[in-house]
Amino acid sequence: MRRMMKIKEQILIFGGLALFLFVATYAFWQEGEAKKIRRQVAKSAGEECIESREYMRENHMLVLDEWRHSAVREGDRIHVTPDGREFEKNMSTCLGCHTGKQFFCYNCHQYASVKPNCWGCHQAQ
Amino acid sequence: MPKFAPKLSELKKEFEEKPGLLKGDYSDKEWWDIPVEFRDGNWCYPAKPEVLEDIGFANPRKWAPTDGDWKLPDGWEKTIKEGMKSRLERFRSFKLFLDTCVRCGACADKCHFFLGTGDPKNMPVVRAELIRSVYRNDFPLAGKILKGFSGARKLTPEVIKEWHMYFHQCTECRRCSVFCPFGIDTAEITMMGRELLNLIGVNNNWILGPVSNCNRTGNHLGIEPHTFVQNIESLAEDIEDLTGIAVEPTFNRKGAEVLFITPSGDVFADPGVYTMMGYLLLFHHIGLDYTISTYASEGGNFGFFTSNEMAKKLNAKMYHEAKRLGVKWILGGECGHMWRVVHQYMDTMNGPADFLEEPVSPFTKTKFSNAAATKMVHIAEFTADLIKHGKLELDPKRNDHLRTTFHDSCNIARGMGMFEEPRYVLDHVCNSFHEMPENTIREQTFCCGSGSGINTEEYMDIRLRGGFPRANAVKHVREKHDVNSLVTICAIDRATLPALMNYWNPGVTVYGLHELVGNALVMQGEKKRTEDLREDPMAGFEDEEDDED
Amino acid sequence: MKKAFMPLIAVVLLAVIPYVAVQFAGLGFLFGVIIPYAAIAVFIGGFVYRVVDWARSPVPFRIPTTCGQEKSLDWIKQDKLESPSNFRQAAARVLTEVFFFRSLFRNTKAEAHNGPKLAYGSSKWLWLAGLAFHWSMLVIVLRHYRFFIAKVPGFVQILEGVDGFLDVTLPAFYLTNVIILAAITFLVVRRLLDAKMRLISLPTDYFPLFLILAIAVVGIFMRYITKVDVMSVKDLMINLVHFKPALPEGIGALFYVHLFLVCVLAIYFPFSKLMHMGGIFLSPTRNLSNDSREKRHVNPWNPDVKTRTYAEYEDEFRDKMKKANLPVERK
Repeated sequence: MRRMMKIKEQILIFGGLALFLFVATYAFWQEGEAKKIRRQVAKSAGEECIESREYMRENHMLVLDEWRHSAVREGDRIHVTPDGREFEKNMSTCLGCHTGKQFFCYNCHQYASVKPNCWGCHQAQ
Repeated sequence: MPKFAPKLSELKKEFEEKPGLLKGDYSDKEWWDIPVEFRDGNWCYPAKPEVLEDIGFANPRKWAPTDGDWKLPDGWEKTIKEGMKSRLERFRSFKLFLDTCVRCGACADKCHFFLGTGDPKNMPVVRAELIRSVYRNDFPLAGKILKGFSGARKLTPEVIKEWHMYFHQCTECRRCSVFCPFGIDTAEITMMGRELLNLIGVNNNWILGPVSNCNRTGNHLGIEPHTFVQNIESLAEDIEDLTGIAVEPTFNRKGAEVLFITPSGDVFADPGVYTMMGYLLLFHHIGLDYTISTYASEGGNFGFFTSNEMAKKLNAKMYHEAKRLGVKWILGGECGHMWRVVHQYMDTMNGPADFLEEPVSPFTKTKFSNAAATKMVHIAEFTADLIKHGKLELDPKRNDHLRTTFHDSCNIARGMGMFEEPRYVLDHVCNSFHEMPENTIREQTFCCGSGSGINTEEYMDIRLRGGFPRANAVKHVREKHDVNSLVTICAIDRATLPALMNYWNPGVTVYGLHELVGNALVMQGEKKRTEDLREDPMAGFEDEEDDED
Repeated sequence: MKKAFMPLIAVVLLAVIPYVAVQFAGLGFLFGVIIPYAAIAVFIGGFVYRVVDWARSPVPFRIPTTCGQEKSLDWIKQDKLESPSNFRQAAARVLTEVFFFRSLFRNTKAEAHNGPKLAYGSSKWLWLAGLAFHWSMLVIVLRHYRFFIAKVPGFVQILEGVDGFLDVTLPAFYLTNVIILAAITFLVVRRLLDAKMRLISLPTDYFPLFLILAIAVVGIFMRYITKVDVMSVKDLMINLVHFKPALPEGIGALFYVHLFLVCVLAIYFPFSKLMHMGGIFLSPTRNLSNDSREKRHVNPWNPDVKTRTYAEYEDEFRDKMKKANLPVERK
């Protein structure tokens, strides 16, 4: 009887620990590699972007959000960079250089599990 | 007024001056800075040297907690630390409860001693910290590294004094454990604390005296067999005077179907004796084939308040005697900690009881399958089953002079889970029953304030404070429903609640459940009953010509 | 309040260390690779050690705290959750404790009034804050799996969707972020405001609260205000979990503060009260069924105790027993 109790208890405790280990190390068992994607993005055609690469990586969503607001609500459709260059506030402006939405947006967004809500309105090209 | 009791007016004033729960100003203090102070009424007499010698306990000597030097034995620190280590290895509860507390404070205002004294060290979390702080100093790795950070402290004589004081201001009632999100049970901590203290001779005569008596004579009071028999026989005579019925209990009789064991308080102490009379009437009423043992004449187990080995030693008598007498199963009387031991420890300690049979009520054929292994049935279960099957002739009007409320005993409530049976019985033997407020009954019941071996006269100050939450709940139903009777199913309750009621709620009398059963039982061939078992007149049964001298 | 200040200062110092080390001393590899590996090893190793250490001590007695009617006569309704009579019910008891903090739900607040009179009111704030804190913590931890797994699993995406369902702010606002800040604030403040809580609280009670608060605040900062390059962060993490440590360039120093504080938490965890996470499953007053009269529970170290036998008893009292007409074994 004692043996049975002990075995049952050990199954429970070590089963529980196994579950804990599984959850705690879950990521270690998963397939996949680091993207190191920015080297490819850097190859995009066209002149210089509206801001530095670092800035755009971290803040592009805020830029697009601001564009949407000022263009749609206030009718201000022209973005002027600090160094005086002008861009039309339009998704096509971005995708004109960064060709291939599929590649340019999705790869990173999927990797980081962030769903952009651009394509709810804008047609995919 | 008992000698060691505080003046009621002064204690009331103390409550009213500081209506907050915590008494005193602790704005720039830590609990470990507060010294312990032994004064009249807050310490129990230490065990007499001859008692310790008799049971082979450590460090027999004459001393008192008010002494500066407690004459601890040489190397006591080592004894405590090794004792602690051994208990950590043997009791997962102890180790786990020391490790997992997050000090969330849910337990803080649940302890009757805290509510009654306002002493911060009576918050269950701090009571455990008393040991935990020493444990941290010596045991887990991280505690050692971060001593100042984690609230660790050295083991000093002051710590032992603190342990002694506060592990006797815990009645192991488990109320805190109900509210703890991890189920941390301070009773487990207190038990370990008391075991450790006993290793170095820091003890309580009110516990160890009964332990020694129980070992030798079979019961706490040290009653020898012939006196034990005489006492029950005199109760039988009282029954005959009152009812005209001759109940004939037998003693140490081989071949009886059932061995009946109840706390010796029911045999000797007022008002427990009236409960005993109730049992005797009940057994006679149904014709139970039972016997009472003079050797296993104690249901209670003060060993349980000392060490688990001592609990086992005293408890062993029940099975030993049941086997010798060849009974089929054991019936247990009304008692709190007795049932904690019987329900949660007996079979583990002294079983398996394969020489007994699975208990079956001979009258209703009900199988007590919940007692299939331990083979011991609680009298409230037994009686409830009899009533349910209509086997008892009861006249609840005979208890109409009593307006009752029911006190759940801590151990029965939180160490066994028996709530409905006694209520069912009570409901069928009296007409007036009112529950106390919901946060003071059932699993949230408050202790009588004197359980776990501290129901001694010289401890009255602490007992009256610790019992205050219970008394206050009784006062509530006394004011609201005119309740005058507090019914219990515990011998320590019966011994201690009368003093508590006299102090806080004069006019409330304490009864055992089976005393009320005894009152209500309509016995075959009885004479006209006008008085209850205490010879108090029953309401509505007065003799027409009540002119006797 | 030295007890609360000490841990606060400790947390601030712990936050400054990685910032300075990465920003000015270029110790990115130490804080991005070495310490995280050490932390996860200590966390897992320590956690397992503590649980196994508890498991090594047996449960000698069956001591559930019964908070409801036991199983007894057929016609009496058993409280299966509060007084479980078999393994399944006991497991349900533990799990409801783990997931819903059932015992804490019972919490009451005692008050003393003139009379003297004691009154007890329901008090569910601690339950609510505790539950909010722990559930948020769980959701946040699981949400972070998006940084550790290259192809983000479905359950993480679902959690993100639910947590961000309000769909305000950019990036999407997470409810759990606010809930956890509010809950921690409550848990700290109640320790400071109530005299009882002030007395029972130790520096080790404030430290994890401040630490988790700091982690959350830094995390929220990175998400909504000072921004870090999420792609690089994920690269670092994926590299770590595949044991190909490589430090991507250009992750802001704030990230290292976040990561280091998490590492501190992981290292601190197994040696502290935070182990209640494992302990709650093992609590013998909750995880045992209340059937000790029905089935025998075995104590592996059941001590041999010399008991006083009936024969010894009779030897001492035989004459008195005979005089009282009590039957004796030996005449």
